[in-house]
Parts: sequence; structure tokens; C-alpha cells
Amino acid sequence: MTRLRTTLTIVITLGILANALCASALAQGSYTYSFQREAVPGPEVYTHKREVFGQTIGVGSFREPEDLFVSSDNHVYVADTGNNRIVILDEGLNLVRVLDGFEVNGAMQSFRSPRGLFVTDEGDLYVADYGNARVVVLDRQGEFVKFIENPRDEELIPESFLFKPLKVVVDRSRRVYVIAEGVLEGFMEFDEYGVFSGFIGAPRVSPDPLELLWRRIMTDEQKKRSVMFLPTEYSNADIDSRGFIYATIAGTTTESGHVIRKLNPSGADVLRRNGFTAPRGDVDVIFQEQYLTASITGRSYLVDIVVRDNGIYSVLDLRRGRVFTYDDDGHLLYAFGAPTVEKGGLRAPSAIDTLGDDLLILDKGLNAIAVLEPTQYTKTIHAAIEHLQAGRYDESTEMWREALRLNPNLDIAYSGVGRSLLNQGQFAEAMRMYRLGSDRRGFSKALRLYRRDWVDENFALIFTLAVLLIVAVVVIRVMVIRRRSARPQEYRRQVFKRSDHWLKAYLEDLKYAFYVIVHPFDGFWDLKYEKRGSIASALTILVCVSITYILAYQYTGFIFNYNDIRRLNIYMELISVLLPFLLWCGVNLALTSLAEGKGSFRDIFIATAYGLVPVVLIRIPLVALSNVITLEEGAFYYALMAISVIWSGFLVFVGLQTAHEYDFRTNLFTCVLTGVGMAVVVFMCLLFVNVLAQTFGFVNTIYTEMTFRL
Amino acid sequence: MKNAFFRSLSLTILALVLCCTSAVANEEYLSKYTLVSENEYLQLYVNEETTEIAVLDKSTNYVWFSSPPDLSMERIKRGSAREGMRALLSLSYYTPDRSARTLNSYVDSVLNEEFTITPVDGGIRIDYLLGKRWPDDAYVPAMIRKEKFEAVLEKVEDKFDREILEEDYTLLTLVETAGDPYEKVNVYGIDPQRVFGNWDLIPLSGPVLTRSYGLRDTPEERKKYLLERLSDTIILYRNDIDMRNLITAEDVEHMKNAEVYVLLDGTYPRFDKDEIPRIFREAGYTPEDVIEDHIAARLDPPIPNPEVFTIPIIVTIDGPNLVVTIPAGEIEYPIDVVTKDGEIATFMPQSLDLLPYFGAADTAAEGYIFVPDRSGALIRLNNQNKLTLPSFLGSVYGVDRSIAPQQERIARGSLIRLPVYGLKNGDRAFFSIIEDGQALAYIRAELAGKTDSFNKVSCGFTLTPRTTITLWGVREEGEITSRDDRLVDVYQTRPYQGDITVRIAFLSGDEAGYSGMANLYRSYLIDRYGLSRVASDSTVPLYLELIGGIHKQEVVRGAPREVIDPLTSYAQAQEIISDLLESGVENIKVRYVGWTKGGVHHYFADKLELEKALGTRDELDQLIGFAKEHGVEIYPDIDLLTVYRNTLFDGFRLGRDAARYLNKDAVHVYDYNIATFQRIPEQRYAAVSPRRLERLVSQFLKGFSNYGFGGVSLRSMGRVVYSDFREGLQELVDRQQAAQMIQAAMDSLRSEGLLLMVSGGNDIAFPYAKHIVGAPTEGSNMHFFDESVPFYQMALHGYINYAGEPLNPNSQYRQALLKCLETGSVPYYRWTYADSAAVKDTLFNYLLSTNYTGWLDEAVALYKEVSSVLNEVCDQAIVDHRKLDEGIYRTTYENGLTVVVNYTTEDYSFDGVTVEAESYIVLEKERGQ
Repeated sequence: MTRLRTTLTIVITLGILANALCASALAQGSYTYSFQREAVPGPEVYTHKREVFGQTIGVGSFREPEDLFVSSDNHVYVADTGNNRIVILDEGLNLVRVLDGFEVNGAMQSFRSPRGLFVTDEGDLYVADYGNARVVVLDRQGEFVKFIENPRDEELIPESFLFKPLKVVVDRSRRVYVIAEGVLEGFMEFDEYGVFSGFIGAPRVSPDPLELLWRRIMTDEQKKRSVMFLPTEYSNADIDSRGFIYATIAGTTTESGHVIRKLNPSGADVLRRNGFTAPRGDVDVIFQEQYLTASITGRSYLVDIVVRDNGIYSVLDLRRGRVFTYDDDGHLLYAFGAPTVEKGGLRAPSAIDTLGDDLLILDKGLNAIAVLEPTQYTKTIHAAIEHLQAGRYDESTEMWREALRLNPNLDIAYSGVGRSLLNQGQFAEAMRMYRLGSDRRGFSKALRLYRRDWVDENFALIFTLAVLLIVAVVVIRVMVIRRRSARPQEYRRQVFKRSDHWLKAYLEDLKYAFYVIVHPFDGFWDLKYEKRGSIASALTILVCVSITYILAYQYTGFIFNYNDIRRLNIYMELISVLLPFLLWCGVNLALTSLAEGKGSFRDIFIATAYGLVPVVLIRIPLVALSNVITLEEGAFYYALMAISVIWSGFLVFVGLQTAHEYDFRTNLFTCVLTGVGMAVVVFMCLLFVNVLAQTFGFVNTIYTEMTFRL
Repeated sequence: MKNAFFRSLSLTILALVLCCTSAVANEEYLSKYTLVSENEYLQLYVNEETTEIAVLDKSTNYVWFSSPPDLSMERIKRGSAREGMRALLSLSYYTPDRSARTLNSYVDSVLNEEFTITPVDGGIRIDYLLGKRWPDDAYVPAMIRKEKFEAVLEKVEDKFDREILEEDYTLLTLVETAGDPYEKVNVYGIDPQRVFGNWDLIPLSGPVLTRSYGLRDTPEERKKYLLERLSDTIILYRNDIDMRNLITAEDVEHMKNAEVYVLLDGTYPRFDKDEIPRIFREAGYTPEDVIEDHIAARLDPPIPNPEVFTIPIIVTIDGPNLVVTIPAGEIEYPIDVVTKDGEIATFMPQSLDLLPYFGAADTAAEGYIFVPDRSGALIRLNNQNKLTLPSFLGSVYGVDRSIAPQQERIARGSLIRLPVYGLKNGDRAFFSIIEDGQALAYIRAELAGKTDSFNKVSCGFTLTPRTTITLWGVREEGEITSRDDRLVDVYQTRPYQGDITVRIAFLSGDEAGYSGMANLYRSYLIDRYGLSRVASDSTVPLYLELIGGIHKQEVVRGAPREVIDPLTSYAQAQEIISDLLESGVENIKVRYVGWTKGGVHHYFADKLELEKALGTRDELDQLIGFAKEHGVEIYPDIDLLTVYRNTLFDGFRLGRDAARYLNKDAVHVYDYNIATFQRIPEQRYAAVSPRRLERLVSQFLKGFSNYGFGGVSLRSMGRVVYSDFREGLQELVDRQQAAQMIQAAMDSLRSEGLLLMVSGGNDIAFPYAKHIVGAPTEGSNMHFFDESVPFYQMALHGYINYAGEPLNPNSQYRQALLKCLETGSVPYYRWTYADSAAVKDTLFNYLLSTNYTGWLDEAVALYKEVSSVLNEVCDQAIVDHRKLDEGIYRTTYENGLTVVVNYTTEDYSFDGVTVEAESYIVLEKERGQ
């Protein structure tokens, strides 16, 4: 915490010094994340209406208030933690009263560091009285109802357990869910009588498999040093009208990113995560290791969540003072806020809730409640979702169009518009919209319908073409056979003779590749001993492979293409094919010359290159195909892709076996070793580059040092 | 009865006291001051003992003090913090070990009596010597001849002081004896025979004689002790001797047959250590005398304090204003002096705080501090809510981007376009304008209770910009060298050499407020720059920014390539303009951004080429002709300070023409990631050195004048001012010079007959600009401020047309309308012909909602509504602006036209009129008065 605070102070100081040099539009406003995980700007979503200090309402300054709750009758309850009291405000944020304590059996009792509170629809107030190790239940008039304290359970709770409630939520049937300090098993659930009935919603730990593998290899010592997979505590929760508990997890140990959960009554996480990334706050985050000068690093530190109408929910990030709002599908609608000393900046926010359309954010750094009012843009987005949920698609589309007018970077709006175009039967337009919105599922749907229509319309043409094609194939085939049988002696027992003219020879070499891929054993033998291949043709194939990859990068259909065309770099693509290829050949040569391989570098080069032909032959039609197939037919696409790889692998394997005149086992052995050898070489190269960079850095440092010190 | 009498008496007294303090001027404090200058408005006083300044405003008889005259309520009761409040200035500098030090003109100069006051025309000049010339020790002779010492003793008047000297100094002499006087004396490390021979060391008076030796009281022991003390004293005062056996006979030669008073080390009480220098100084004994003594005694003479600065300040009255000038070129600072550690160092004056407590308001005061942050902001005095917040500190024209590369940008931060500030205290106010040196200035404001009990606002100046560079330490045995070793301070090659001038004006009564300040500032601008009113028959214009082309990466025939996406071609621009004309908008000023080769990120402006994607030269000519015909002015936009694309064959060489950081690298402007706040390394653009501007402008004009435009829009000249920290003294451009170079560039553009439109709107553009876009319309949103005021607009309305940021990304029609009416701003839209989605996935995705068809109707409606009100007051200044209630503002123009706007969602009534929710009314009743 202290560290966080120092960071914040630094941030604030920097904030004062920092100065807007460029377009100020960047610093304000909101943003969302694009498909490429880049933050893209959006218009302002909330305006800072006012801030309510303790002094303004006449109760003296708040002190590190931790929680805020808006009841169903629009009263605002503030847990003024540092002052050991609950402050209740009305709709206009004027003071209703201050709860300093309550009477139990004629004696006054007070709160000690109340950290969380909840008000039921009936007006009962539940206070997580952290310092007194109990949850206090008061009725609407502030009269004492009961305590929930000292939960005991022989199996689940150890004797020494100290109940330190942080947050509390209550469902319709008055079951109470408590987040308590040091409890890693999820929520503590109490029944309506305040009796402990068990844990619910334990955050499941799902470390990624690679890490598990590593841990198997690690020594005990290393294991101790590495981060433990500790289940994380929930930081806060809210409950929706249907009894689903929305909870946030502060902290960053869960790499899988499921830091926001929606628990059904049985405690299972049912949050929908259909956005580009799972809801987790910031996606593009930096870490201290790479950004030494950065004042804020690390993943979002979520401290509160509020469920709003239509399944929309907003979470509050303490680390960067931000609010992220998602729809019920998990799409990020907008994110805004910064840890600045400006109004609307959140230095140390602790709680968030809604009052009507307005957002109330409690800031324990400023000791004030900030009231944020949605702009027209925000209202438009919310209306679009509301219409959508109510099934009023036309209105929804209208709203999405308006949102798009204001923010062309809002991907989800394109999908929204696309959906209605789809319903109206404008499939091509819908496809364009879905593409703009990076919505592959929607695009696929539109494509299927579009394709169906297109086929329907052009059935006659397609049918005719197909028939013609079949006829043509048959005719040609027949003619070829007829011509061959007319001159049988020429084709039987034909002895290969290399053409004299270089161009002709080259073309023949290339053509032979088609023979090799279907008759590998025969073909590779001839390649080597009949010299039916050449370096030139092998190089040609290689270039073709590169081109295939470049084509695939840009022309693969939208559904299967996750690349960012803006980042295509032809040279890098070329190198990414050539370098591994040459490495393979070189390492293989080095290894096989030790293992009595008969193949020369030329042989290996040619064999490997010819082996890659299926990649070209399958991938290029596949690129074309990927533009017309839908997501459901993707299996076909991926299967063909796999076939091309397996086929090529097999060919290369056979080619090398032939070239080196190995048996199967030796060949397998050298091939595997070649793979290992490549890894070693790459590792050495990286090492070398690293050393080179360090040397350069060293020389550079000396130079700078000399210029500044002398 | 008695009670009632007392109550009424005390009430009367209270009332009298209140009357005295508020109504009657605070003249009684002037008793210690002398009148030095007077004119028909003001009297200038100075306290010749403390150099404090006071100004009596003759119209109100109120006296303004440079430091608070009444410190009775000050929380700090003693110490230099309290004394320092009486200073006129303080100077900060850094030592070679990178610790900051501040010298204060009162504590470090006046108290040392190191200042002179000389009268000048209209006022006085005070020359301060900051820092003690001699350290305290320099007044203390370690060895002094008897006659001299006794002469000093005679001058000491205080009996106790004299006793201190007599009791602390030991009178010694060497007398030749026949035998060996040191026969049985064993002193560690010294051979008395060798040093003294047969000269006997005899104490004649002093602490040695009265010292108790207890049981071991023998003559040998006494002699031994004396020898030890003497030799240690010599070692202490000799740099070349660090052990006893290095002392030679010559070192004691001067005592032979002479009587010498010696301050023997370790024989006098510690607490006298501070007293002795004082006594000597009061007796008129100078370090020069000590030097003489020490040389005679073969001791090291005292070294003068190297860290000494001299700084002059000239305070005059000029008409109704107080003018404070510091000729910064005359500041003397230690260059290549020997420090205490024996190193050679130069102490550059780093920053200067001027009149930090001028007009400071105490804890009982009511009023506000005015700071020019963005459009202007008010800070209510004595607001306890704000004490936990950091105080305000903002640089004029923003932070100098050349000082150090900025790694991240989190907050917008403060932004000052006008170098002015003020403070309103009750029904009086002062208002300061930084006249010279404003580009180096920063403005600070602090509330009472933060560090002391005064609310104050003042300015300071960065005389020598400085930064710290981290050298990446080499790993030594697995340890990175300590962080401190890797930090190196870098300074601008020389301190600022020009003048620093602050002009302070005084207001009272109704004028004492930000409206009055704005009126003052406006008349100042008119006097100084000759701003002229816009023509009286003019109407409100509509600013229309059109985005020409933007570049994006696209795949062309299989290869990725940068293409220019035409958002608004020349012909389309014409179409948009004619659409607007048809809708009845006539007075259109077009800011055409991205119209040259490269689009918005255009190529270096020394050669102008048209962008093919936008159309042909014919189409452009057609556009220009069309505009001329319909009275539409086109301001093609160009960025002369930023190099978006540095190609091999243009006139820009990074090494030669870019500005340099203090760390010697070329200055770049970065884009910042909005999520991580980090700068984006690929998106950086070089900053042209201000030195290069003159040539660039003439090159630019050569190409530009071919097109026949009547004006030009400058993207960054009104927005930023930055230095070029090259090392050579001839090449260095400090920030003030940079501001002048930018002004010169604008001047030469204007003298070519071009009308200028600038963006941002720093005050240096005022003499040249006809239109300002992107002017600050809101105050900053900092929590520290209580209210934002349209001071900027109040100062300019009727003289220069201005608009804030484009209205179209935000769709709050009513709010935008009311803002225009409240601040007299021109409606300003940023449009493209192409669909808004064209910017998606480009560098320009921050240009939101630009498609003009979606905005045309709204813009026309808004323009018509705004112009129907403001057309009447185009040439009228805003003379008054007032917040009537939360969200209700009243703006009064010179001719009496008054507009009341209501931003809230509820109707508002006052004086029998009602302003509907989110609406406005125009009152003309005050017209003609």
C-alpha cells in the first residue's frame, strides 16, 4: 500500500510538471481497446459535475472513506472509515444523518473502522465493522437488529480464525456474503439468521500448463523463490437484481485474467467473456522491468464493481484511477480516468456506485465523493444496449449509428449496426460493418447468408461453369491419353536427358517438383542421382514459399486473419522463411557429415526446398478459399493447413533420408538433432547479439560519460 | 448594567479596530520607511534597514507592502523561515554535489549588512550580496599579537564579551633560557628540543594557567599539556601539516621574545565558539586583520566563502504601476572558484523568486488569488479544504520541452498562456504582468496554512535551466555503482542575460477583481502592442477547420506502402464551403490542415508541394478563387516548428537544424499511449531549432506566395516556446530568445501581407495574430482551483477573434452554445468530407466525429444563434464577468449588452428576470450608460 501511495505521489507531482504539448484530445476523453489490443481514443464519457467534501455537507472532513453504497431509495451511504461512522446522504447529496453508533441492550456501541456496507431494498443496513470483527445489521431507523460475528465451523474454519469483514453483500433472501481479510476460499456465506453456512465462489487457480511444467523441473529452492499460485482474495462485490454476485479480485497473480467474476447462486463463475479480451481493466499494460522510468506499472488493481442496468457493469481501478465499463457480453464500452489532481482525476478511488445516471466515486485520497455525469455519447451507448436487450433492434441500431457518428473507433458499435443490416438483408454492408468492428463471428454469419444469396442468384452460371469445367477436364484427359498411346515408345522406359537450354532445363526442374511430391521415394532419388533438380529451382520454390506467407498474411479471409496489415513488413516475412530454412540446411549438413551422411549441402538444400512445395500448393488456394468460407467451416480450413504441413514434413524427411542414404532410424535421429541444433544456434546468436548490444552500450556510456564529465 | 456597559464598550472597541484595519489604510506601518519616489498616483517607500518596499496608492491611501508588515498572526514564530518573509527575492543554486541551496535577500544579505541602496530615476536600486562573504571562522584570529589583541579588547564594550575573550585566549611567549627547558617533557609525536631548542614556552595568562591538573600537577605535565595544545592548534590551522612532527622551528619563530595571544584548541568552552566571531566582528575586526595575523603566525589565512552572488534589483514607479526590474546580465556568480573541498566549481544561479510575499493576504483576508492557468482560475483565500493538495506551480507557456525528454504523460497539467497573476484582498487587488523574461517565468500560488500564515502568489524565473542525466553505470563486481555516482547535472551554458521586469498595478473598489484585472491587461496590451479593435461593422465568423489528407499504411499490390487518404480534397473543400454559404453562413474562416504533400504530417515546409491525392493545382486555384469571390478567408495550416517527416533531400538536417536537449540529443516531440501514459518511440517528430526559423520562414514564403492565399495558419508557433540548448554561446537559444525568434518569424510572415491564425494562443502571438483557435476556454480542472474564469477571453474580446477546441467531437449543443455566448467565442468546427471512420486504425484516430454532413445543420443553427447575439458586440470588449450562482454567469460588454447564461437544468431567477434551464437571456437595459 505504501508503495502504491508513493507511486501515486510521484504521479501527482509529475502530473503537475507534465504538460500537454500536443493535441489535448488525447489526454482527456475515453478509450477502448481495439482488436489489436491497442488503446484507441473516444470522446469524453463523463463530465465532472461536482465533488462533495465532508465539510460541504457539514459533518467535517471524511477520513479515508472506504465504501459507498446507493440504496434503492437513492440514499447514499458512505463508510467513513477513518472517522468510525456511517454518513447518509439523500439524492441531492445533502446530509440526512450521521450514524456514529447504535444502541444494544441499552448500551451505546460504536463502529471501529467500518470498511464496507450494504443496504437491502427494505432499508436494512449491513456494515462490515472491520475493527470490531463483526457485521452490524441495523434497520431503516438505525436501530440495532443483530450482529453477525464469530463464525464457527469445525470443518471449514480453524479455531484461531479471526473474523475481519471487509465488504458485505446481501441477496434477496437475506443471505449474507462477506469478504473477510485473510480468507482465500471466497465469500463467507451466512444464512438469514447470521449463521455461517459455508464458503462460496472460491477463486479457482488455473496456472498455465507451461508454468506447471517449469515447476516440475524447478528445484525446491527455485520454487520457493518463484511466485506462489495463491488464490487471491476478492476485493469487492456487488449483487444484481437476479442474485448474481459480481466480484473483483485485486492483485495480479491470476495471469489468466479472470479478475472479474459473476457468481451464480452455486458459486460458479458465469461471466461472459466475448470481448476481444476477457474483462480485466487495462489490456495494454507495462511492467517495471521494461520501463524503468515509468511511474505506474503493473496490471489494473480493481477495487470495486457496480452492476448497472441491462447487465452493464463498471469496475474501478485504483492503480491508474480508472473506470472500465463492460456490457453483459464482456465488451469494453469505454474506459476513462487518470490518477491526476485534476477534477475528474482519481487519485486513490475506493468505491464506485451509481445514482441514477450519475456515477459516484469515492476518493479516499481527496476525501470526497466525485459526481460524474454521463455525456450524450455515454447515454447513447447505454440506450443502444438497453434497446438491444429489449429486442428493439431498430432503435438499437439507430443508437449505435449515433455512437459511431461520435466515435468512429468504437468497434462494438459497428457490430451493432452490422447486426441490424444483417436483419435487413444487406449482407454485403453488414460484412463491411462487421469487418470494421473486428467482429469475426458476425462477419461469418453475414458471409454465410451473403454466399447463399450469391449462389442462389448465380446458380445457373455456376452450374454451367462447373459442367464446362468437368467436360473440359475429361476431354483434355482423354486427348492426353490418346496422344500418349499414339507414341508409346517415347514414354516408356524413358531415359532422362537434361535439356541443353538453361531456361528449358530450369523449367523442367521446376516441373519435376510436381512429380516429387507425389512420388517422394522415386522423386528424391532422381533429384539426387539424376540431377533433376537445381539450386535455381530450389531457390524459386523458396521464394514461392515466402510469397505464399506474405500473401497469406494479407489476403487470408478476414475470419481467419488475425494480422494487423499495417504492421506487415515484407523483408521480415522473407527473412522469417529464409533464415530458418538456411539454418535447417546448415545444421543438418553439420550433423550428417558427422553421421556419415552422403548428402552434400546442395542435396540437402534441394531436398528440403522441394519438400516445401505442398505448402505453396495448398496454402495459396487455401488463402482464396478462406475468403469464402465461414467460421463453422473453419475446421476444413485448419485441417487442410495441417495437411500441408504434415505432407511437407514427410517430404523433407524422405528427401533427407534419400539424400543421405540413411535408414529410417538414423534419419529420424539426425532430424530431431537438427531441430535441437537449430535451437542451440539461435540461442548462441541471441547471446552474441546480447553481448554485442552490451558492448555497444558500454562504449556509448563511456562516450556520454566523457562528454558530460570532462 | 455593568455588564451591558462593558459589552457595549468592547463592541465599540471591536468595531473601531475593524474600521481601522479595513477602512483606514495601513499607514501606521510606514513609520520605518522613507519616501524615495512619488508621482501623481503612487508613493514609493523603502525601509532602509531591511530593504522592504512599500507603495502607497494615493487614490485609496492604501499601502502595499513587499512583505507582510504584521506578523502577529504568523504561526512560524522564529527562525530563518520567518525572517525570510521580509526578502524581496531569493536565489537558488546547486552545489557540485547536487544539493540545492537558496539564498534569501533578507537572511543572507540584509542581516549580513551586505547591500547598498542607490537612488535611480523614479525609484531605487538595491544591490545585494547574497551569501556571507566571509564565514564566521574568518573573523577569529588563532594567534594574535598582544598589542593588537588589547586594541580589540578596548573596543569591546560589553563586559561579559571582554571576559570571554580574556578567558579563552592564552597569552604565550618564548623566552631563551640557558639549559634545556624540555628535559623531562615527553610529548607524543614531537621533539621539543628540535622545535624550540632552548627557548622556553611560557604561558602568561589564560585558561592554561587556571586549569586543574589534579594530583599530577607538575611543571613537566603543565609543559607537556601546553605543547600538545599548541601543536594541535598549529595542525588545525595548517593544511600542509597533519602530524605533530612536521612542525618546525620556523613555525614558532614569531613567538620568540614576543607575546602572542593564542586560541588554543580544546582549552576554551565549546559554547564560546559562536560568540568569539561575533565579538570580534562587533569590535570591528575584519578578516583582513585575521589574514595579517595568520600570515605573521605562519598559519593558513581564512578563505573567503566561495558561494557568493551579487544581484541588483531596481524598483521604480511608472505612472500608476510599480515596476520591478532585475538586470539578469548583471548578476554575478562564482565562476571557477575553489570550494571548501578544494575542487574548482562554478555556481550557476538556477532560479530566482521575485517578491514572494508581495501583497500577501493573511488568514483573516477574504478574496481570491487569480492565476492565468488556461483561461484563468481563482483560488479562494484561506480555503482549508485545499490544504492537503499540492500548491499551484505553473510554467509560463508550459514546461520547456527542450530541458529533458519527457518519458510519460499522465496529466494534462497546468498551462499558462498569459504571464499575469493577481490577488484580490477585500476591496483591493494587485495585478502583475511579467513584462520581460516571461518565457523563463513560473507562477506559484499558495494558501495560508500550507507553510506559513499567508496567501500569496508570485513569480519566479529559471535563470539557468538544469537537468540531471543518469549515466548507466558499469557493473562493478556484480554491484551497480551507486545511483548518485551516475547522476550528472547539466546546465544551460550561460545564465539568462536579459532583463526581468514585473509590472504591478493596483485596483480598488469595483475594479478589484478579475474583471478589473482583465480590463487592465487589455489596456496594457493596447498600449504595449498597439492591438486594434476589430472593425465595427464586422460579424461573428465561423471557424471551419478542414482536414486535408492523412497518411496510413496500406497494402498496395501486395506490398505495404504509405498512402495519403484524402479526407477533404480541394474540390470537396469547396463543396463544403458552398454548402455552408447556401445555408446562410457568410463569414467563414477556413483553417485548412494537411493540404500539402504528406497531409497533416506534412513534409518540411521549406519547399511546398501539393498533395496529389487531394487534387490538382487547378482545383486548388479554383478553391482559392471561389473563396475570394464569396469573401471566405482560407488559412492554410503549416507547422514550422515540427518536422513530421525528415527526408534525405529536404532542407532539414537533424544534427544541424533540430533543437537540442540539455543532454545534447535532438529534441523530439512524442505521441503518448493513452492507456500506459508512456511515449510511443515510433511516433516522434523532431523540433526545429528556433534559430532556424528565420531562414525557414523566408524559404517557406518563397513557395507559399505563389498560391495567392491571403493568410496562413500556424500550428505550433502560438502554442509552444522552447529553447535550443546547444553548447556554443553563439548557438545557444535560451527560452526568452526563442520567444523573440518566434515573434520575429510571425512578424516577417505578417509583413508579407499575410493574415495570421494561430493555434494555442500564447501572448507572444497577440501583436500578430488575427485569429486564435484552440485558445484556452476553460480553467484547469485542478482541485486546487475553486472557480474558472474566462480571463483570457475578457482580455481579448473585441480585439482578436478566438475560439477554443473544435465543438464537434462533443455533441453537447446547448452547452457549446452557452459557452460561446458566455465567453464571446467564435464557433469552431473540425470537419472532413470523408466518412469519420476513415481515421480508424490510423495515427489520426483521435480526430473523432469529423464527417461534415452529420454536423452541418447543427453548426449552422449554432452559428446563427451565436451570431444573432454576438454580432452586436464584435468590436466590444467584455468589461465585466460575474458568477451569479452555480452554473449561472453574467457577461457584460462595453456597450452595455449583457448576456446571462444558465448551464444548469433548472430555471434561474434574479432581479425579476428568469433564465430558463440550459438557456440564456440578453439584457440591454444597461446600454448607453
